[in-house]
Amino acid sequence: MEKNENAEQLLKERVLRLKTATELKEPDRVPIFFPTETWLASYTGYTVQEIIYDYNKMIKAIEKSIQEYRWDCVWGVGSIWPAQIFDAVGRLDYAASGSAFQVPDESYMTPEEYPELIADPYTFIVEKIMPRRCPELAKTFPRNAIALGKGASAFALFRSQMGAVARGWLQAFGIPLLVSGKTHPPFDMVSYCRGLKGLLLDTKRHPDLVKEACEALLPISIKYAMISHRVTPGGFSTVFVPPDAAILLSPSSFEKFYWPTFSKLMEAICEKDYNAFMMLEGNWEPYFDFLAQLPKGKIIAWMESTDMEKAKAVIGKTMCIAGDIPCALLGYGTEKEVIQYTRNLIDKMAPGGGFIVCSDKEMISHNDAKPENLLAVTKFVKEYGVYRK
Amino acid sequence: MADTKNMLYVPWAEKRKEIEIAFDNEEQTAKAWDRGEDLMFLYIMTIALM
Repeated sequence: MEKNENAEQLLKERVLRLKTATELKEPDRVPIFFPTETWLASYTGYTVQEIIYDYNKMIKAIEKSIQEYRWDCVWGVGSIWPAQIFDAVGRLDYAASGSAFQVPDESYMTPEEYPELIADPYTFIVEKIMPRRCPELAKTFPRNAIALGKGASAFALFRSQMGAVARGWLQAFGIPLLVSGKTHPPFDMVSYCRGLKGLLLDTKRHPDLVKEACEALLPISIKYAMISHRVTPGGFSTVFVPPDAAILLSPSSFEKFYWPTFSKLMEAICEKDYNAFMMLEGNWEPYFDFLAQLPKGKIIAWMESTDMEKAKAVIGKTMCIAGDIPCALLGYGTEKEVIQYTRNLIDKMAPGGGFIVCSDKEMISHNDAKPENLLAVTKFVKEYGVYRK
Repeated sequence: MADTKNMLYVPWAEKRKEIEIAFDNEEQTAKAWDRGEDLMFLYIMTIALM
């Protein structure tokens, strides 16, 4: 690891830049980062399987991107899990996908089991959902216990290794992690048990049970955020919150089923003085009125297919907006086209602060960005994105 | 296919020695167990709800 001479100063500048933008003010310049997920494999000359089975290769890939691009933060070290933690319990959908984590939509509980989930959600997840989802845990003792032990050991090792690696990056490169914790909103947690298709049907057939299940899972959702988030002294980091199923609901269903527990989760994260990073996939315009009610100056909203100008106008006084250079443009466009798009984006979004430049999606496959386009746009933002006071 | 043995290998004997040196009273040992429980909670969330 080649240390940056001025790492301490760089860290101070980057943390201040990210904090100021998150607090909806103008920093010295527009912050920039790219969520480089399994894209890092092809960028470094590895296969996806190589980096998910050998974390040293993943670390090398992230370090290469840190040194080449010098963005304001690293996306996070936990966005790509080591495959061993899933292999051990028989969940083979992760490693088998070849390019990224693809989760099949399957139901692991029946509607008749809602009362059991509601009465004791954690026990239900451990005793019912896990063995149904992870074939090795459905085997007889001691094979199930050995499988859980192997997976948990790999997970513990991964967490301890990556914690040390992230602290090393902070000191050597002066770069903070953007995402260091994670949780799922309660409605999404129910969908992972019941399956999306089943849950959406249940909102019509068993609406009260769905609402009760969300309420029952809220403490687990909050606990997940609190335990997983690690605040590194001198750094800047957020709790990653992907409200996946929200936009499959109409605004009136969103208000009934999603919003009551989602808003409580976000308030709990912000009350703890943590920052949250919401991945808002799809078009969130129909839900702006709800988002505008969330705590101010603590949340970064990462937009995918939402009208950025409308987002700035309606929710820009509540949350920092991040986005939205299309991966299609980064992957297939020319440097000139990418810079033109980014210039327009900065002109529209940067005035007044509360804005971060990044792509519209996680960079998963080789075609999600040309390395030369990322270099060009990074150089451009560092020059054009300066706030002149 | 990459070698997966290294990630799954946990040197328990060495770990135990470290724990014995690090925790010389019950309170500290209890805290270590709490951390272990938290870690198991996170692992369960990761494999069950994703």
